[in-house]
Amino acid sequence: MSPLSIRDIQQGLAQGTFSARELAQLTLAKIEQTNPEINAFTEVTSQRLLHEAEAIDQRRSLGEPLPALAGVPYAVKNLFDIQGVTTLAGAELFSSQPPASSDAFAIKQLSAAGAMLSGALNMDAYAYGFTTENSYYGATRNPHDHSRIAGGSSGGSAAAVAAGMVNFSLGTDTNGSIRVPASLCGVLGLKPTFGRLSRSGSQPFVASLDHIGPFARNVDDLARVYDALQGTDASDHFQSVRSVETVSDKLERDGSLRCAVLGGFFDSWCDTDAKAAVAQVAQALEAPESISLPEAELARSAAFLLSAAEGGNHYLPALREHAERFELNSRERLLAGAMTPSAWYTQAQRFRAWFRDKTLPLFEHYDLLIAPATPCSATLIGQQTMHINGMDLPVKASMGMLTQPISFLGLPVVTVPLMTAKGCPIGVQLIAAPWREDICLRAAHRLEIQGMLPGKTTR
Amino acid sequence: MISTDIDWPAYIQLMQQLLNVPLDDARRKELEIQLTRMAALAEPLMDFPLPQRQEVAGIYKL
Repeated sequence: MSPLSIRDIQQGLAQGTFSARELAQLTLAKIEQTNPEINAFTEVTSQRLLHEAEAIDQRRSLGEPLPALAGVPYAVKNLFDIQGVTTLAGAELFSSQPPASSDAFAIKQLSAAGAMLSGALNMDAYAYGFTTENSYYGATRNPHDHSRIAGGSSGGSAAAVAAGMVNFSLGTDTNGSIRVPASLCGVLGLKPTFGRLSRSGSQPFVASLDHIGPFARNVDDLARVYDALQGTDASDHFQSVRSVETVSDKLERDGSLRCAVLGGFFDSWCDTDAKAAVAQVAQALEAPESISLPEAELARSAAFLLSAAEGGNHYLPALREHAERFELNSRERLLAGAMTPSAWYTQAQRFRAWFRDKTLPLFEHYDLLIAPATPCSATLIGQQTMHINGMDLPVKASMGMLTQPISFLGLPVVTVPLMTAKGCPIGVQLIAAPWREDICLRAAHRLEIQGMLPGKTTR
Repeated sequence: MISTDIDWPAYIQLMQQLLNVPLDDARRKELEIQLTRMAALAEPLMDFPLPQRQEVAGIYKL
């Protein structure tokens, strides 16, 4: 793994220890060396990376101040528009589309902050899946064990960061697609509050649930990237009206956090590895109490049905015309969603409002809720079912069952990586009240400085 | 409602016509598996007694 944090890069560029061009060349060499085994990238934007590095070095040579993410290499899930690159959304269906005419809003934000784009990353087709076993573009392999899944749907994003090919990446999370791969690949992932960050210029899947967010190897990096992503975008009608609220300057803020563990559904549907990880975090954050979300299992069901119906409807025209071009792992799941009775969808949307109103009062008593991110650590590539709570569950649809109720609520979550006794990564969700990403990140930072997380401590 | 008692082949046949989606037998069989799974999730959700005035959570802004 690359030992450099964003702070290291800032200092190195300022002191002339290395140039942005050297960082770009190192990144390309690392991708060339590592990617054939991991299969995280579907496109490497070498020219753009070098061009952006040149621009940073020119500013250095003129003695200009450098922006917050100057010279930091990153990559994005291939559903974000990159100017000059065809947006695949993991689907062969889109491979013949013309290249995007401009960057997604999030990429524009990162470019303005000086970050250097190295390419587009693999994912489950249409973002519908939790394993990144893509039939057309191949499975992304877990950097910790190449025989295992990276998780999904942002599997390439998590794997590229875990393998040290880039410092950070962007993914999307509709039902867990940032938190699941972060858990299985052993990196940090942030799913912000629903509506916090603009989704403009990304391929939609379930408009009612889609979020974007970053992956990184340490908390400070994650917070700095999140700060750069914030900003108002009038073209995204789902974005909430919020001013920029920086978090990277608040990680070390003092003050106790009132923490509790989510029991019930979250404790039932996970194995002993996940329970042990939650117990470690609970002890470190002094969370003696266990509480339950009202009707969490129904929330998971409602999120599943809502996703099926919106996602299915989105792809219905293409399912009529080009069924043979669809990902077989999800084609009939998509079509079944389009065929569901409207009463199921409407009930799910009404239940969502009920569930929100019953859950938010919990934050009068607690600042942070703790839950496992995945039912277990990474399963084998090709494995169809996992045995959890006495039942065999389909991996592709169920690896996100513990993340689904939380994104259904829209709450901000940071997934922190721990290791199981057998040495496999597994993540824990740190969940806060709406718009309190700072609390999730402060809690993650506390775990990091206690030495509980494998990432580099930057203090 | 018990999802296993539903005549899924008949439902799929109707939906195939309503949505104008050409299907073969193998795809119909896989659709039945998926719909049965979704129906099992929908059953307790549909039984849940929401308040009479409960509105949807959807976002629509002008």
